[in-house]
Amino acid sequence: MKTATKLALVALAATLGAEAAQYARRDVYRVTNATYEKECGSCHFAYQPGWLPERSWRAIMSSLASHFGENAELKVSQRQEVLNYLVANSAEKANSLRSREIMEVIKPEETPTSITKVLYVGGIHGGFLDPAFKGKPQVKTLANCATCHEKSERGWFAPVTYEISDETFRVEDVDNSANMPVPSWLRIGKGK
Amino acid sequence: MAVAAICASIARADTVADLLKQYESLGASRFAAATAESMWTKTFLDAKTGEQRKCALCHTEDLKRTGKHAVTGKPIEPLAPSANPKRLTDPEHVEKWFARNCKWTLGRECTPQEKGDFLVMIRGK
Repeated sequence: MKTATKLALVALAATLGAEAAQYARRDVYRVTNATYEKECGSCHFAYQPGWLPERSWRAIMSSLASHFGENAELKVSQRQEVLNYLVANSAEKANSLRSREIMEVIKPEETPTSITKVLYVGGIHGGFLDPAFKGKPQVKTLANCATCHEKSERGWFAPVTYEISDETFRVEDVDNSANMPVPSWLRIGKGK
Repeated sequence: MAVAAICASIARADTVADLLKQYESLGASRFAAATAESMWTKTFLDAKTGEQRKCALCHTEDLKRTGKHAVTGKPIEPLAPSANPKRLTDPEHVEKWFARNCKWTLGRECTPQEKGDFLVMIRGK
């Protein structure tokens, strides 16, 4: 499909709010490469490849000697395998609504290398990093998705539970199957 | 369970023996757990960030305990084979983490002597 057609479809979908039929999956696809899961997931959440565009994965994988201040070098064969996997499943290639939303907020001239700093993720979560924040979780970084997103390791970011002051908030689980109408991602209801 | 533990202990004996032999061939000798013990809690200043780093920062001082990644907070399984039989059973895994973690903590690769000292120390835990 030509980019122009794609963009037109996305724009149309946003207007109608019911384009889910285009996407095979609502949220990101789960990790399916064992080397990626083992090599990258031993230090941090194994972010699904559908969270970043190909150019971002290439940039990350070509600077592993200094990876967020750490040495994360891989053997050449493993590096290539992981890179191939990430590129083949990157946000612009994944047939998921979540990946499409990510691509919408990243400007063409940007190559983000930190998923938690992409506004789509970082903006929503910014409050949790505020030193004055008194609720739960209290986190140093946003790198540990599974703290609140209990199914996130399977590529599924609902349901979510967190606390602000003394109130518990919960984003309920939603259906992840194809052809579902698009929900508001932020249906925040008061929990039990 | 018992069989798995025995297999792991055989794999560990082989892994450690092979690695020590390799380090010896590179000039190391007389590996000493005590040297590694004192290295374990020694702090190193990271020139770039000004941070004080040490092995125990992530792995804790008690190798039988679960550690924690200094930045992401992700749990690190215990290094002590008595608490985690998988440890020291895969030479590639050992070498990979020596390479990464020595560079992060000390700002350089560990020498064969240092690596041997660490292996002997961890093996005894």
